[in-house]
Amino acid sequence: MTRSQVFHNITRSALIVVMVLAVAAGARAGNVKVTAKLDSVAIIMGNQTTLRLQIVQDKGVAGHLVLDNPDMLTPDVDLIDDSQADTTDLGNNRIQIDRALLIQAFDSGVYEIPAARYVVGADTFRSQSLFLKVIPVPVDTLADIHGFADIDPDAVPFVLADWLPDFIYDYWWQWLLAIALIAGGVWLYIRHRKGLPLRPKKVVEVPPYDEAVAALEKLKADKLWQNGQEKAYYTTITDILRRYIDRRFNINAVEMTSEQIVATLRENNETRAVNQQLQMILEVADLVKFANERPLPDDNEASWQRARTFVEETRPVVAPDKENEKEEDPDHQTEERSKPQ
Amino acid sequence: MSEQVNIRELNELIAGKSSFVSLITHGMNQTIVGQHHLVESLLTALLADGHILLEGVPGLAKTLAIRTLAQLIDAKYNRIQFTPDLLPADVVGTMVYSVKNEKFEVKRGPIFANLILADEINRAPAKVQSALLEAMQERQVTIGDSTFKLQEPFLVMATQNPIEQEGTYPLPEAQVDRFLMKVVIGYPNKEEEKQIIRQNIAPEPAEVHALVKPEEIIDVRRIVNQIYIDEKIERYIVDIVFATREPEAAGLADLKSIIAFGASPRASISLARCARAFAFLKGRGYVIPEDVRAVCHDTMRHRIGLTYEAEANNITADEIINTILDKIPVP
Repeated sequence: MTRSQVFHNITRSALIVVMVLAVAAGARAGNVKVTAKLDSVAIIMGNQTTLRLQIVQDKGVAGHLVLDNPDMLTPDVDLIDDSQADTTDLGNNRIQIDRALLIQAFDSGVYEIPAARYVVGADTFRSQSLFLKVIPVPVDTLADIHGFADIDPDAVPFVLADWLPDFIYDYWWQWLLAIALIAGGVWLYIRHRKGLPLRPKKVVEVPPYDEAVAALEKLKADKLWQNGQEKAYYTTITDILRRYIDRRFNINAVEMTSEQIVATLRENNETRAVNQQLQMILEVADLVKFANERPLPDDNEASWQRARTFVEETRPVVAPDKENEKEEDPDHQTEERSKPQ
Repeated sequence: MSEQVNIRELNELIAGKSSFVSLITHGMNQTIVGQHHLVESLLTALLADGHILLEGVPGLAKTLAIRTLAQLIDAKYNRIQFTPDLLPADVVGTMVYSVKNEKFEVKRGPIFANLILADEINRAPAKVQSALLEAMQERQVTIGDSTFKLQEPFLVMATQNPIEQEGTYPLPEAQVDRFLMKVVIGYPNKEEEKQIIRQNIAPEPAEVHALVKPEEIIDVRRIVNQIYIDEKIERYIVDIVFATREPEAAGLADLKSIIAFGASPRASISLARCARAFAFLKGRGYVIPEDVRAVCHDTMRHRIGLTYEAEANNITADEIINTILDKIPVP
């Protein structure tokens, strides 16, 4: 064997080894395949599209996708969302891993999306690189520029906490307490200055009987009919009686006509004895008020007396034991009084 | 003092004419069973020189009432049945060519009578309604170039059926306002109905004789116009009418949402006129609050506009008037 033949054999053997290694390496590389695809290769600036990565590999092979920057694929293409890997069993000890990356671009132009890198041990597998075209928004330069809408204040909900300074918001109840104390102090001071009692006195409602009697006495003292004011005299008498009946019997007498009052009280046992008296007063009063009638002085006196009798006879009767209780308690205010024996 | 004497004189005058009221009322009651309110309203309108809009289902003696009244006062009576094809000329009259005289002559319509029954007024179109209402208001009719005064007393009683509203022409508010009163009548009670049967199946129906002359009505109207209304009564009337316009001011804020529009000044005038006529019927020469209340519903119910809210809740004008009367203090 010549030297050249030996060299030839060595070269051939080396080539065979290299080829075997190359085939083995190729066989290993063929087990992992990474592909990339864009849902839309052209988008309007600001819009989004999805970059879908597909990795097909043998089961049990551990690898991971390498992203240089979790926020952007390139300086102009932002990565908005990255879905979880979705694995599908393809059979024959093969699996498919799907990943979807939501991307967005705001500047117009054509951008190269670099190949995705999938690292398995010391090996790195790459997908093909893709191109994304970002189209600018068409602007009609000849069109009118429309006015901008005002900011709607209602759209922004009012939150008190945003408006209050922190030193108030953090100690709000202490502040409220302080304001209440100050207001109370001012109120007490004002009442003290005006000489008013600290506790306002209870307004005691005058019982209907007492009110009617007082009003009738005042009417008598005013001497209206003696001064030629019969109309005013009878108007006052009927007003006193109407108000008394209203409060005493809870009848809407102020808004009733004379006829209605008489008809209503006809059913009432408490007024049965004096209904006639009342009817006579109202009849005379109607004549004076609406027909300019001028009764004789005796009639005027009689009308007052009848009114007084009506009020006296319909005065509420109080049970004796109740009366005693009231006598024992001098502060006790009552609307009812015992009828004189 | 002179006013006081006048009222006394008036009371005596009215007492002297009391036979007038009792004669007519008795005559009406002989023919019309029940329906006392209708009879009283007819007399009130006749004395107050106004017209009546009557609402009630058919068969409630509306026609009989006005015909009887016409017979009792010896007045000319005409009935106009309103239909969709009625023309204004059918109501007021027209010019007709006379071949004999070779010229156009006036043919007077049925409006030329003392008492008119305009039956189912809402069945005729607006132009016919307008012709009638104009004649009612002006008390005169123009046919061709001639104007004719309508004879006094002149009273129109128009009827409306509240049930059948299909194919009707409801009277506009402005037209309704021209009626002095709107009277709503209902069914008679059992006893009255029994009497109606007896009266109608009797072999000889009761005859109606003229008891009063139309001139007497005009005389009585003069007395009615003198009936004294005190300032207190005027204020009471104004308070009631204003409560329909400004319910909050009368302490009736709840009514605001159910009243679309309040009563017009014509309502105040009508209330005063009817109260006077009612006082006459009661034999008084002066008006008292009872008189105002007695005619209040009939003179106000068609002058208060109700909102959709009120109609949806079935609230009537009568309920509103009741609420107002229960709130306004009586003088």
